[in-house]
Amino acid sequence: MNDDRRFRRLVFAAALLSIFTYAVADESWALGVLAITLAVVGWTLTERRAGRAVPRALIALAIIVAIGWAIASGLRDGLNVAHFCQFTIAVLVIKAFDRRTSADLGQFVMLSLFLSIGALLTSNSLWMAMALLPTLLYCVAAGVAYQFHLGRAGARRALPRSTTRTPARAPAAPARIPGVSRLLGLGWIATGAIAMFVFLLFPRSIGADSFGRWGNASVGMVTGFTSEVNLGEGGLISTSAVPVLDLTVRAPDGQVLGAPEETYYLRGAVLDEYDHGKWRASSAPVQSQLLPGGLDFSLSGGPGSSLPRASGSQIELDIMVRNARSEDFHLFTLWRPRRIQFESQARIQYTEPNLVITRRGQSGRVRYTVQCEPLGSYSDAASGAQRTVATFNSRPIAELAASILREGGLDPDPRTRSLEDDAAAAARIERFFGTGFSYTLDITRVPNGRDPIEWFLLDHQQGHCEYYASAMVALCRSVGINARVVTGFVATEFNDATRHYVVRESNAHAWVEVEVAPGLWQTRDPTPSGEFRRIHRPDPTILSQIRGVFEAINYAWITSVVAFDDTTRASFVSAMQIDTTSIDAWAEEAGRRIRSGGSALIGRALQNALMVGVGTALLGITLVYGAPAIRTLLWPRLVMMWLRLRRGSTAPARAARLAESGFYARLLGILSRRGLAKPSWRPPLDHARSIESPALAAPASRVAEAFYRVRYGRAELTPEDHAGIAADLVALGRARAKRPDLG
Amino acid sequence: MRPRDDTHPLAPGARRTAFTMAGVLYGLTTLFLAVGAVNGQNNLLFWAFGMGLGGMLVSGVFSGSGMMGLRLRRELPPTARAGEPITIRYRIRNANRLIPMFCVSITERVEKADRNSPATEQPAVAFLPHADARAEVVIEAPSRTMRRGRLRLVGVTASSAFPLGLMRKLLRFDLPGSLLVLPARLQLRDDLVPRPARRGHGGSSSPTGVGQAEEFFGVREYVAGDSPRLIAWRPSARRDELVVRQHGAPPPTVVWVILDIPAGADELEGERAIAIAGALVEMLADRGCSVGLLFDRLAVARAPAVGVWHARRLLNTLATLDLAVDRIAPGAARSAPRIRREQAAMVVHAGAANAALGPSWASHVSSGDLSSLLARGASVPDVLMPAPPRETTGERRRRLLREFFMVDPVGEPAMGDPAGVPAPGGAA
Repeated sequence: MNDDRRFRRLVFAAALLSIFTYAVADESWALGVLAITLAVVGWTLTERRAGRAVPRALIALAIIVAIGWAIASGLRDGLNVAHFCQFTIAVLVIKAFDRRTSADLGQFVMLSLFLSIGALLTSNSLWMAMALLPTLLYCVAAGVAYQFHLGRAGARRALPRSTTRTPARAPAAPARIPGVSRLLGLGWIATGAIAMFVFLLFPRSIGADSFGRWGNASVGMVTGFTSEVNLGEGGLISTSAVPVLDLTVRAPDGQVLGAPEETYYLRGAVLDEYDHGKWRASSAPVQSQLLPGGLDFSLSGGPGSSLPRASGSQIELDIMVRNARSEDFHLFTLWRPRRIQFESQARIQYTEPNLVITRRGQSGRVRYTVQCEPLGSYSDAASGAQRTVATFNSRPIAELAASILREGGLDPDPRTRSLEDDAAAAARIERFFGTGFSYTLDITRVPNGRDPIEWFLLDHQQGHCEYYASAMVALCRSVGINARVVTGFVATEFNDATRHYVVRESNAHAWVEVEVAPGLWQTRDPTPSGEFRRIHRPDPTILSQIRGVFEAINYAWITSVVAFDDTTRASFVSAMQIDTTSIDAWAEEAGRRIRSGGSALIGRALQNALMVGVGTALLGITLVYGAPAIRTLLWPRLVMMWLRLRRGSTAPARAARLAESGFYARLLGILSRRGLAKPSWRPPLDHARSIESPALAAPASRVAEAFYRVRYGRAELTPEDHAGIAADLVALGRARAKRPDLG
Repeated sequence: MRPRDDTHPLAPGARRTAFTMAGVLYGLTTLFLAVGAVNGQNNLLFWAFGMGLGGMLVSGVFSGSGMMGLRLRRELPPTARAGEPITIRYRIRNANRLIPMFCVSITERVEKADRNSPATEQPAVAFLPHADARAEVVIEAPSRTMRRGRLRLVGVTASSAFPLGLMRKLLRFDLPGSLLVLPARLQLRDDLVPRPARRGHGGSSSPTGVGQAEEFFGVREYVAGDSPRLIAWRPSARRDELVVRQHGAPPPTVVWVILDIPAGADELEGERAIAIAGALVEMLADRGCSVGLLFDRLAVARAPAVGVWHARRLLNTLATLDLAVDRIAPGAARSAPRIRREQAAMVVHAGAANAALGPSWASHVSSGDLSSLLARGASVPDVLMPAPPRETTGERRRRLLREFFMVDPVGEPAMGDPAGVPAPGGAA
């Protein structure tokens, strides 16, 4: 393999890796596979020995289409990283079909680097980082090889043209440049050290969001959680093992709590209104408050807040959602949350009676800490308060609920049943699902006209967690016990190595909260425990153990790199006894100036500059690629039309004759492809005769003579002439001739 | 005093660092990463910003330190021919003790005055991929001279954008030098000049007439008075009559090449005439003739002499003729030598032949008939061809159209790139 080919392969590898990295970052596997396949096809077609680049007209058209798509997407959704990256991928794929000069390969390297930065802005996941590292290595190696390529190409361009006596030689390309790898290795170490220095010592939390929100890179998938339950549809059901959030549970003394057999119910949405198979949250008064920089926030808790605090210790949850939505994102907490603390600015909304907390703020990774009270007991309930008698409008369900309680020796009538028996009644109903019911993820269509809960309880008796939770709430309400459906996640997968829970998309769950006493809600899960364990806490396999190891690495990556913040930095600096007083003072001053000195103005200026820059770049590219098309396709036609209008009726005959001379363009094309392009100053016949190879010279001369007859002799060609010309052109195309040696 | 060592590579005269377009783009991207990191508090952006900053610093250090030790000297060939390639050699030494040097391009500088009519096809460029610390290497830059005369070189520029092409380090070396470029080489017809008698065995040339030379010409009947030593006994026996050997007449041993380039003559015709004269000088010298050169207009008169060195002197004279000079001062002109009857003369005219010029027995050749003077299969060098006409608008439009729809071979230089244009005559 010669040096040039090796360089081109290096460039192509960098491009493929950058596409792969972006696909990993955005989890756009279809886009990645499609782009890589197309790029490989383009590269393979053009890289063959007889490979040819696609005509510029097609390339220009494809680029214009890509630009049009990018502009349309930008106008529709606003400029964002995803559009930029997808446009870059499109250009990379198109360029794979069009690599003629050194500049094309340089653009390949540059686009690959931009795409890598786009991947960095899209995701901070460990997978992305693992893909990014070789991509950067290849990009830098390709960049260095490009310098050698440029140097050699420059020397080659300066070579004298072929002469009659001593043929000029291109500078020899050594197979391997000694010492480059060593020097690059040294460069990588130095660059890595500088990067580490910047990473560890650059002050954080200064200037955040000063220039507007630019998005926040996620470190994983979006959650599978939904805030509505629609029985008979997919809902929460997901078997995806993609991690959604990380949970660390701490006691007040800082000790990490948790064990493989312990389960935490992280509530998200509370659904208390039922209508024909659909559970929704009731419209309750909403409290809203802006937290401008990670402040503590106390939740009043509505009527329940008047209760005395539950006995026992509070626990603290440290939760990191890997990819939160920017608006109305449910914050997952244990029942009942009391204080919440964020690391970045956010607007918090919560409903008073059921403490459902949503957040508006930056999308992507979100980290927060919640202090929760322990589960309350009956003694915590407000003494003397009256229970809220709930109802559920279904006679068959009411009869079933009554029979369940009667079997347990409990009074189904809330008017006569004592308040203390409500908890036992709820427990009795919960146990009811232990026999005769089976768990399935298969969604069966509910018969027309049937209520899904009735159908589940009385006929089908198969379903998933949403059915169980809905059915239990219906049964409880039928006997006057207030209950509600809660959706969220269950934390069951405890990683011993990192002492934290990994919550996956498949851990999305629905359960029940029962008001066993006025203001005292208990968590109940009617899903059969065996099925629950099978779904959420599967037996360990080799695969799950490997996954556990990876999760530990991933968690270390997230906590030590992705979540590296000012606190971590401060502890590192003090541990290393580094004096960063001057850096911190400078950063503080800079941050203050940015915030107070017209950060909005600077932000707007930057945004405007970005918009103008991107717009100008797109317009420039359109003009660069569109101008040749206009110049070569449209302009000659306009000129011809104008000439026809001016010259009147004499033009058609001439135009017809000239139309016949299309074979001349074919002749030029064939000669050009064979490396024998006609210089513009040389007459066609002279050029044809000057060709050394008789196999090419003879037919080319005949075609050129025919062109002369048409063009200058104003002769009309006979069918025999046309046949002869066609035969000559075919012979020209097939004749064996050596390609010019370009060194 | 220590004698000056002309082969010792020299230190550069001036140094300069320039940011490349890629470097500016890289800097802006790094700045963008920094702003993005501060604004978004994305830790990987802090890391990427650090990488960008580190890449810039490392690139600057590597680029600068490698070039710091570059020492260079140019080595020119003794002479060159117009239209033919030459090879300029550069002796490069890396004076660094530890740091190797990578990816250095050496480019001959062209003075502004020479840019419109360059003496070489393109400025010579050499590329040095690598030189170890304290190593000395020699690299070559092929080039091609485009006109006869003295090629004056002013210096070279060494540059390197290694490793990432972000900034280019430029070193300027002032290395004045010159090279005499002889007239373009022509392959003239063999019969234009007489062949001298061959001495020794073999040979295929035929004498031009009967004479006293040693070479055999033929036989004829014996006539009274012929020396008996000339009788060819074997042919006499075959013919049954006495025949005697005849010897060929020796060719003229002194030939004057006379140039006729009037003051207002076309420049191209003048160059062609000089090239023809040069070719004649070489042919005659090669055949052992004593060659002289006359150019009355510029008072050039070189007495006839034999030998390769004399021919080279005549070629040097032809190479340095300045046709722009109208006529030298009469006082400076030496009196033209008188051409004797037994000396041959060949007059080379620029343009049409003028038989009135030169001695009456002189033969005349004209640059206007150059193609008919060439040997079979030989062609006129492109430096003696008229410059190609400028591309018309229509031709340019057609070329653009062709390029726009063209299916290029991958990896080859694009159209318009000099290296990509095949040589006239085709490379099929």
